[in-house]
Amino acid sequence: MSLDLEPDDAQRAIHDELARFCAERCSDAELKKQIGGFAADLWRELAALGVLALATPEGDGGAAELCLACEALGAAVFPGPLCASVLAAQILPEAERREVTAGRAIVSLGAPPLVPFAPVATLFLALDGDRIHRAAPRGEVAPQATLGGEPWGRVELELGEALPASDRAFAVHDVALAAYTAAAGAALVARAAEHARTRRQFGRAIGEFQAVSHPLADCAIRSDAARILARAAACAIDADEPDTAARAAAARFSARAAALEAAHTAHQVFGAQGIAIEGPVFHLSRRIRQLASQPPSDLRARAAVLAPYAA
Amino acid sequence: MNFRFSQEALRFRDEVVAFLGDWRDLDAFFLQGHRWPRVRDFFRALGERGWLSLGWPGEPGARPIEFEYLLWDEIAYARAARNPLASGIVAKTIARHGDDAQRRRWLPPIRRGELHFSLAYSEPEAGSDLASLRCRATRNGDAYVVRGQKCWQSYAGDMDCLWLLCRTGAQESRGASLTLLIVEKATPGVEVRPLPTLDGDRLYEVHFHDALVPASQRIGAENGAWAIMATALADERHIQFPPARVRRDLEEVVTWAKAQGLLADPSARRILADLAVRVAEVEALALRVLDAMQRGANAAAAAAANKVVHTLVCQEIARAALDLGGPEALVHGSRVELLWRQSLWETIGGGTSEVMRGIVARQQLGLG
Repeated sequence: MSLDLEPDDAQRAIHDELARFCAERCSDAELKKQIGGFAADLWRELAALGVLALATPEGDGGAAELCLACEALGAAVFPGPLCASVLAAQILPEAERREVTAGRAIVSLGAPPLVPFAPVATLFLALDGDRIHRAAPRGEVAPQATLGGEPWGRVELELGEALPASDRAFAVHDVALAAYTAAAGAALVARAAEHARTRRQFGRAIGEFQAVSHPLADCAIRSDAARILARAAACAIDADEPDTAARAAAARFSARAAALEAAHTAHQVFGAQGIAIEGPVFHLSRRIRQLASQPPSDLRARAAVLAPYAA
Repeated sequence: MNFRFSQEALRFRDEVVAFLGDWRDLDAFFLQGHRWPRVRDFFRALGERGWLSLGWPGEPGARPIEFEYLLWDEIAYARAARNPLASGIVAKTIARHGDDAQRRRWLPPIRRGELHFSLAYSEPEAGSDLASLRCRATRNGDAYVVRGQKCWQSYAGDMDCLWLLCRTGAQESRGASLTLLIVEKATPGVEVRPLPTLDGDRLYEVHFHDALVPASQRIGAENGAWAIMATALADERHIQFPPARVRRDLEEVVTWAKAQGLLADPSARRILADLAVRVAEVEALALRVLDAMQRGANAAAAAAANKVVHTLVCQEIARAALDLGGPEALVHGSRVELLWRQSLWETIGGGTSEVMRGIVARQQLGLG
């Protein structure tokens, strides 16, 4: 067997099925309608497709399949606590894991008091440095609107037992986040490039100006690199290779940088159209920005990336 | 998806790593001009193993391209040398486009690592815009008379032959009137002048004063060079920018920073971790070039993307090291200082970053 960066037919089928699902159920208009809320029915429909169980013992596929699924979801910036659920499914015992992967348990993963999806969550996991604890809200959740349009909340959490969170668990999470983020960035690059090919100023398509085309080329290159890194890390997880944590963490950072650069470039290329709240960019860029800042923190991943060099 | 090389290729890599044991101190990846006699010995040693001709299309000893990729990646990691132009662009072009007599004459000594070439493409007024070059070859009986000037040639002082791209028709027809000639450097009327460069090595200018070149040393048709050059480039894309060079750069900088006590600083660790991510991106983009070539796809945009990021990251690593490094980084002979000087060339030689971004914008995004 030799090098092959492209998915096999089964992996491609998972991607394409989810891309169709997103096209039907999660159009731009639908996404914009959901800003600030959480569509529990849509979340359960996603779970019913088996996405959240990938890379778990019940899953119909491993990390590579999860990676391809997240590429499809990221390209449509599918809403919901996707990566938190992926991490939760890696560390919870079977009964609770099944609740998460079936979409019945809604996961909040964060460092209190400000935690994601708190107003709608049914399963709280609290981050304390590298450790993840079961947690229960003490008192009321104060809803908090966020840049990315996700319903977060402020709440005091009572910490319970620490769950065993392995390198593999974080690596699977990082791969899901990387694949999703890289694809979201790539989707923005594709939109901005389409605009640059068709928008005419000074008597020509603006994409003929290198001041427009070269930044887009850089964004495309970075998105491509990040997508490949996520896929490579996913394959490394499935093959149980030793350097998985570093590879997955590198993919996560690469995808973040690529997507943030794509977001800024897309806003610039779309000009005033890109500033409109209902325009073609903001509902993607705000989610990219939110994913780039949300828990779990970078510290563990950054240490993992540097470890092979600084040993 | 599969990100592992074949078992045969991995066994071959082990063989290469074992072989390189003797040559790791050669350190000619950056300053070949100072090490030439030893580098020639190294190329002969590669030739003895048949490793200079692994990727020659249709020639005996050819292996799948992942072998050639791994060979030059390991050699780059060892800092031993860069892949020679003779066994690369020159031999692959002769293998594809030469006639039988040319293949018999030129390929055996190149295969053995005994005959070496410098490319003679760029001119004072033709850098990125190669199709505007003016150095002219005029047919006269069985020979061409070459007159003109080339500049910025790598290694030309040490090489045996020049791989000359020259004008054989109307200037206005640009790429449609260019021809490839092999010019032995000892030919009367060929003058090579060194141009010292800021990395401590040299480039060269080559002046042709009515040098007489036998027509039998023309590769491909007269005025037919442009299409030939495109296929020659395509045959080389997977080995031009070996990612292990960049990994080695960062390893050396991290080791150096550690020795200087700089790793205790969290901001230094953050900068180096960001660079480790960049190195991973370089590796990913290099694999994409290999993957595209293996599936027979046009790898031009993938190769351009790889070149942009590979060479930028070389510079990012060197700059970061100097930013971190304090005064010790400035001392002549420190690797950090050499990397800073050397990497300035990388984003220019072999196609500027601007040209490469243009290729990606056009071919991948349909822009421009």
